[in-house]
Amino acid sequence: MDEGRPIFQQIAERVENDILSGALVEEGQVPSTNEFAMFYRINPATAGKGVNLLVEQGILYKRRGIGMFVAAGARERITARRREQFVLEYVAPMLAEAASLGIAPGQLTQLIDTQLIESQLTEKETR
Amino acid sequence: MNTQTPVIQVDGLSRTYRDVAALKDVSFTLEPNIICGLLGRNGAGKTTLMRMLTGQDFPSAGSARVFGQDPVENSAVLQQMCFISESTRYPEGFQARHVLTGAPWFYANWDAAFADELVGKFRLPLKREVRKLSRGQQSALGVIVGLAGRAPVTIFDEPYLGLDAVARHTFYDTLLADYAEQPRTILLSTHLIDEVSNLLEHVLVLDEGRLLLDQSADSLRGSASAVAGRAGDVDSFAEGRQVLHRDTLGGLATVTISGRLTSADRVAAAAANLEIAPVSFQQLIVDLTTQSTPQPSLASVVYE
Amino acid sequence: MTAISIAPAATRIPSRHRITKVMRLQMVNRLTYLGIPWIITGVALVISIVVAVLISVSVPEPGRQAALEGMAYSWAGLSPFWYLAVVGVQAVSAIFPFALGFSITRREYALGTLVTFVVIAAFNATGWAILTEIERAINAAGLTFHHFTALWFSEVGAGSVWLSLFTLQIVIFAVASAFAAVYARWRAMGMLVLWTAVALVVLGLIAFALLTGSAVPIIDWLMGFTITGFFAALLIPATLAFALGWAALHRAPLRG
Repeated sequence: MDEGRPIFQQIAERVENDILSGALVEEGQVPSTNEFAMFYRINPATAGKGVNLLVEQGILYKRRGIGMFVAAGARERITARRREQFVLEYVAPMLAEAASLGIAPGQLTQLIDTQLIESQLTEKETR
Repeated sequence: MNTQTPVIQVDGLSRTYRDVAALKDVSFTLEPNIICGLLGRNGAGKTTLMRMLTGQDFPSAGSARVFGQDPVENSAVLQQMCFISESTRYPEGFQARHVLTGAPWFYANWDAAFADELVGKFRLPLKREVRKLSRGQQSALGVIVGLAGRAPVTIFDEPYLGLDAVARHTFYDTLLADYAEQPRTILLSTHLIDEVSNLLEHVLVLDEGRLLLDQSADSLRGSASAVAGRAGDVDSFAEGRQVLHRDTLGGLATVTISGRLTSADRVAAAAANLEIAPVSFQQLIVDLTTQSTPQPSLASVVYE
Repeated sequence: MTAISIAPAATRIPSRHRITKVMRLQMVNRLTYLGIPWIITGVALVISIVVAVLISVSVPEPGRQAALEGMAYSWAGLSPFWYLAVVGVQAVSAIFPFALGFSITRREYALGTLVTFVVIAAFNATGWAILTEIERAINAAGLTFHHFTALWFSEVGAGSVWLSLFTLQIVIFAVASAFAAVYARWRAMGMLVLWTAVALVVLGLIAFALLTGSAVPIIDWLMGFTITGFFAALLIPATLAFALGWAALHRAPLRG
């Protein structure tokens, strides 16, 4: 767990990560609040808060007496939101750091292109 | 969820021993069925407060109520409570099996099978005199009574002094599993704040007999940040904010700032070449309780 | 979601049962109340028998009977009583804080402990009274041996022997536990005040007797008691001591 942020948010994020990675499939059942609590060694109420957050966002839904399931279209919703966050969390800081290092915008796009090509090459090699 | 009648209600509670004030005007309420941490340094008044809650000691002023009633000499209330104290002195000749034989006579919810299971988990020798057990084994005995007692209000005072890391994690896991199945109110005092911080739903912090913090664990987490950089930049960033702690090294400074930072703050900090790091739960409590003069107003500053 | 609801309250245990359970808690370690007093009784009895054998072997015939009769003044039968004073102190100093830790009220603790004292005293008194009767039978059969049949025992019936053994234990328990209770409440200062008060009362009574010249009438008055009456009357100071103990204990905080 990361010290800086409320645990319930981190729990929600981990569930989202699992949905993105395919570990949790749409319409599939997710572990119970108590199972989350035991697994992450956190207070069950906190785990419940994290799960509730996802219910409010329409990522998860409850089936009375059965449990919690991943909503249809959850993956898409998470991806859309994370794309917005990506700009804030990665692109903006990168631009700031680039500016402080004196990297010109043109050089920056060039760096990104080079990096992309390299990673594609290594991907091919490993296949 | 916060609309229930409080299980514990403390109003203006003070306790003075001769001329030493152990508790000063402490007031708070606890919702039922939460795990609450009671944190603070040695001598902060944690044990005194717990003794007031269990009718073992008497308030000098103010009141402590449990289930809406005064716990002092109140059998109906006390029967719903189990207080496991680090300072328990076991009578001479008492063996662990004597304690475990006696416990079910007084705790109506006692689960004998669970107690047996825990004896195995903690590897507690039953036929040795309790006074001759190690500190950790004595703690394990208390933990077993506290967990198997399943009292609606269970109070642990430094429950795991001398327990090794394995035994402590056994305690955390067992507590969580059992609490998830049978929710009850648990009040826990400890020095190992980082280890338990994730288990807690609510936090009370005592310092020199005063209640410094009374808030949910989640709102406390991330409610302070460490800002590091050139001393001048750091200080101008910190200006007008509540500074809990300040360290300097040459021309560099680190300050702990209370209050959550906005994204605008983060942008400003990045522009000024300042580094921002989260402050751990334990570090936050340490910073709060190492100030030379306790500032009661802090509670409202940190509180969201 | 986490179904947050007030846990079903624990079933309550009636007060009467909790008092009996305090008694069981006091006696959970049987060695304290039953084991050691009877071990002391046994050891003392063996010593008395050895002494009697030594007297029979070493003292020449003319004085032998007198020497054996002299064992009646050994008080050997009362040897476990000193240990009971320790028990009375421990019942408070060790079990009281422990009992509060088990969520027992002071009142339940005090009543349970009082019942424990009465039961233990009655049990021990019965045992010792039976042994006394056996010894009397041995003496009646012509074999002189005194361990239990000491002091006043030779003068009264079995019932009075039982009563005297019972009340003596009660007095010891009451006084010892009262001292321990005063200590639990007021610590060293309480001890100081209590001892000083006891000394002053004793000195005051002696001074009163001497100064008013009422020493002789008082002694006559005491001698006027039957043995049974005297021991029955001992229950009055015992009750006062218990009252003092409760007065101290009912507001005693737990500390340290």
